Amino acid sequence: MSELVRFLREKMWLFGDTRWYARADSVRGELVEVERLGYAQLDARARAVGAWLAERTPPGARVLLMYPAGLEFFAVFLGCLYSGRVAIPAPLPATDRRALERAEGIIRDADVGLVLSDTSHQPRLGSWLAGLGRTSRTECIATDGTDRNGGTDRNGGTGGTVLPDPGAWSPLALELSATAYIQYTSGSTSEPRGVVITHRNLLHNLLAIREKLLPEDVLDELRLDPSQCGAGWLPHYHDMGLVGMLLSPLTSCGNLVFCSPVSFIAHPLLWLQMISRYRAFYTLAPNFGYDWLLRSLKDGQLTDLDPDLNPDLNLDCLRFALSGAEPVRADVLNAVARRLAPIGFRPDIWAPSYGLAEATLMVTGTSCGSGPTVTRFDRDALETGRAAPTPDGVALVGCGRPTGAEVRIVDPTTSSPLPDGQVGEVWVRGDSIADGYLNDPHATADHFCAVTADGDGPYLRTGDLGFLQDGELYVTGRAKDLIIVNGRNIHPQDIERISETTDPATGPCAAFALPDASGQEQIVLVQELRPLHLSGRTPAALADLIRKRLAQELRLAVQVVIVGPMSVPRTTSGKIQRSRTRDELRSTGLDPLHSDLLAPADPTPRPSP
Amino acid sequence: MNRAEILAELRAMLAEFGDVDPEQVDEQTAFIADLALDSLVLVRMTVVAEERFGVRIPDEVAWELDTVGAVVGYVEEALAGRVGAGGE
Repeated sequence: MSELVRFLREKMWLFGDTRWYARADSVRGELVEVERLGYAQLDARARAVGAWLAERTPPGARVLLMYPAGLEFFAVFLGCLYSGRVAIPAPLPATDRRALERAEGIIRDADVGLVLSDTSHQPRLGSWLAGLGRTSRTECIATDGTDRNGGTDRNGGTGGTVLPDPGAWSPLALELSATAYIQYTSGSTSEPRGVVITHRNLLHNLLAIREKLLPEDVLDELRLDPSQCGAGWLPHYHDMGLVGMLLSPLTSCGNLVFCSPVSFIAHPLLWLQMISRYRAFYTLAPNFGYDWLLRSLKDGQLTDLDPDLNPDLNLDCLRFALSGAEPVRADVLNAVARRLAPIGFRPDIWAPSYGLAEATLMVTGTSCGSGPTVTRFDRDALETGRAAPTPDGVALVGCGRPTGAEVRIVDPTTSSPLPDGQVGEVWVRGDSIADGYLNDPHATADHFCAVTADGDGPYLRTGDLGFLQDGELYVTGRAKDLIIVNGRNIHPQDIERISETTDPATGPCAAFALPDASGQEQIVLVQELRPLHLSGRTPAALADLIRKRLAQELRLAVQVVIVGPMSVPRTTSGKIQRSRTRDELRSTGLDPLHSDLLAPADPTPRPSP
Repeated sequence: MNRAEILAELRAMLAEFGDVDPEQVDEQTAFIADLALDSLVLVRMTVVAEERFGVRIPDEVAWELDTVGAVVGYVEEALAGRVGAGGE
């Protein structure tokens, strides 16, 4: 078996079922544990999956995993690693309207022949696959079958497949350079982008995460104490959910309690209940998760988190709370710490981090026990690319120090390395960096093969802007035009394409994020009008049409600004320029024919009904 | 539960989870285009609506229910047993 699989299985042999994974859910406001597997049980299940896959698929076959949150997904993912089959985790339509559209793109891109799911989703996925009209047939099989009497019906059956006893089967021998899985990043809907993660990448990143987050004495505690637990709710098809939430506990010999992302969104208190009930010593989430918790507490059933009123909630067990995968905001850290202080949350447990799927997961992180580094910098200097600490400046959160990776800050235009305190693009090198994107040599060359002006490389260009200061990485923005709202990465192209095809009167347009007066990011679309096609309608009516279409297609609330023909700035070759459009909208207002944006003083701009 | 009761419950949910003034809400109100509710609030509302009304709202249906009136209509039909399966 590969060194990675040996490393993971070693923990399962050592600790047997004294360590476990459990999934919780919320039933009438109460936490209920719905499933649990010990390490050894998980290993047995993964071996059954591995043996079954080895029997019916060729080595290296790509297998799309479309499961709801739960232990069956994890066992099947491990089974793929054991058998040298390449897992591709993907979301079900529950969380993403375009999930099936995306999955179709992935099936074509990765030439997937087998989709695995559970018995509750298999029938629908099976008929969807049959309707795709692919020449080579892609099958969908449910792995969680329980029907012992001929439950192996392959097409549209409801019993699912009962995996045979694996007997003496053991995981395949694999080189560390073998592909472990493919992590699709959000990419624009039309062009899915699969990051090819090797066994070496995953093993290296898991060890780097453990070394960075858990000092030796904390790790020893974990080895000796079978009750230490992590808590989370992240989706397993996301790098932070897969590597950070599901795989990391195996690395550090800990237990994990988790719930589905939808359960957390619907019942935000479940997160706090999991931490309290299982006495979790750490948790992890992107900024938007902490922000959502805060928003839901504001107007929810709980108006007071007084421990006397809520005896079941107690967070004093938490020793670190990781925030990563999207920009970490100082105001959110402060507000959450303040709001949760009455039930035992301490502000010094924040552990900000930075990472991306192209680097497996983590690039920089903060050790348990060291606390966050928040520094104020002069805002004007930052806009000119210089980090100048000043007591009354803007508060930026340090994302910690490199985890087994080399981090450079480089001028994105000249590729010259920049000294500490200068803002540039974040470049990364190390064994966690993936080989590249599947079937995309151009994008791979653009992103993974960067060389500095003085000939040093290859580096991964992250597309993020930031600077290094006293060894800490501060991330200040995106070099690309990506829009991030509520954990969703939205490509402006997706918004623009929909708007342009809404009506004959819609011409070229530009979409981007713009903070409103309260600092909340809102999405703005500047849309050119084709007056000849307006047919007597008002620009406001056209804006209304576009807003409704975007709401329906992308579930996004977008502020529409209608401008005259040729008003959106373009390059000399005619390409629209998003950042220039945003700058001109802010400075001159672009002289719109209609604008959803209210006066800047109003903190909650809203379209009139 | 009749149409008016379903509408009243939805208004209460919009006030609770979306900070929306119930006076602003009628059957024509669109969740995203008019109220600018974000996707997290909508996911939460969908799950809570299933629990409170005791009906199942499959994801592919939920995506299409873009106005208050559409939800009222769907819940009314579901409660009458004309679409979907009932709750637990």
